[in-house]
Amino acid sequence: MKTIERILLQIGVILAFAAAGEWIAAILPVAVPPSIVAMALLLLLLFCGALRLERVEDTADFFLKNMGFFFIPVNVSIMKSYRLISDNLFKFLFLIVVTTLITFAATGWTVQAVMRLQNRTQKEEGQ
Amino acid sequence: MNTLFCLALCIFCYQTGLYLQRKSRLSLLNPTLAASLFIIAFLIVTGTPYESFDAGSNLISLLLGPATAALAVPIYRQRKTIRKNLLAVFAGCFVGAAVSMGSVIILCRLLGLNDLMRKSLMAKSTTTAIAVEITETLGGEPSITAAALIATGMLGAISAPLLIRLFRLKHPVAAGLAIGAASHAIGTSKAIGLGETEGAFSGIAIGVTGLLSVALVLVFA
Repeated sequence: MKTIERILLQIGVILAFAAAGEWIAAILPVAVPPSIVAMALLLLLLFCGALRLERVEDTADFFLKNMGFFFIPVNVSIMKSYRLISDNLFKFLFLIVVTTLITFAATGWTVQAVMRLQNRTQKEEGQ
Repeated sequence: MNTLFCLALCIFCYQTGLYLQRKSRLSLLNPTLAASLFIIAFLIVTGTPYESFDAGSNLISLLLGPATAALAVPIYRQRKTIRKNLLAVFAGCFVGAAVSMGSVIILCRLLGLNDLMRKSLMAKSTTTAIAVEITETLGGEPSITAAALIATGMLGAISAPLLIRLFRLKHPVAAGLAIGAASHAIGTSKAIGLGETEGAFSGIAIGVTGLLSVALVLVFA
């Protein structure tokens, strides 16, 4: 298949998954973001072999490489909510920085600790 | 604002942001942040109301869904590494979700921020759709949540390489999960640039941390 045709088909496939994600999320009893449902659906079909990686790979990589672009409108929306935080701006920013750093470190260290623990048990089992 | 003009404006601003980062070689000069600031400046200078931009940029926001769903591809490519580290993924994301919420509660009290602020900031490390849902469940203000999400995400995206060194996260799996758990999808956009493993695990962390956060809120609130 020609490159452009192939890419167009891939765009269609990914958009269809995103649409399916919205439909399914709307009928789920708990609040799950539609994009996460679409991601789970894509994974499911990739794992069961119904969808081949080549069918979505190029377009997915395009979206991911330019992901920052799609966040621009969300960022600009801070114009709207700025007034709500401007009274407490310094405290707000301080809280964001501190909690983000703590969360980052706690997650990373937990992961490394679990990995080390697992490596040790594996070594002991091997002996 | 005309949708096509809006799209063109965003593309040019983003390209300018990319150009500036390439030239300056500063990770602090994040292209998304630069583009957003250019557009805010443009709107202020031309006297365009925000609502007008919001209507025009609908198309780009709409594509955020498929862009997030596309994370399935690096996750699938990394399936062997993921299977090997499944326990680490869940432990890390659980600790991340709990620490994020706990630190918000404690800091709100220390800083004397009111109840509305606390309720609106609880979900600040989760992805937008989940965060808004949690805020509404708690009775917070979604616009405050939105501002906190952007600030958290941009902070993660800009400082991720520095934080990885600072906290000595030697393994790309740990780095990716930390980025995703602490700074959701905006942080993940940076993790993808750091490497495929970082990107895939950051993507997983968005989903797992988000769902665990919902569960934590349901249990404790």
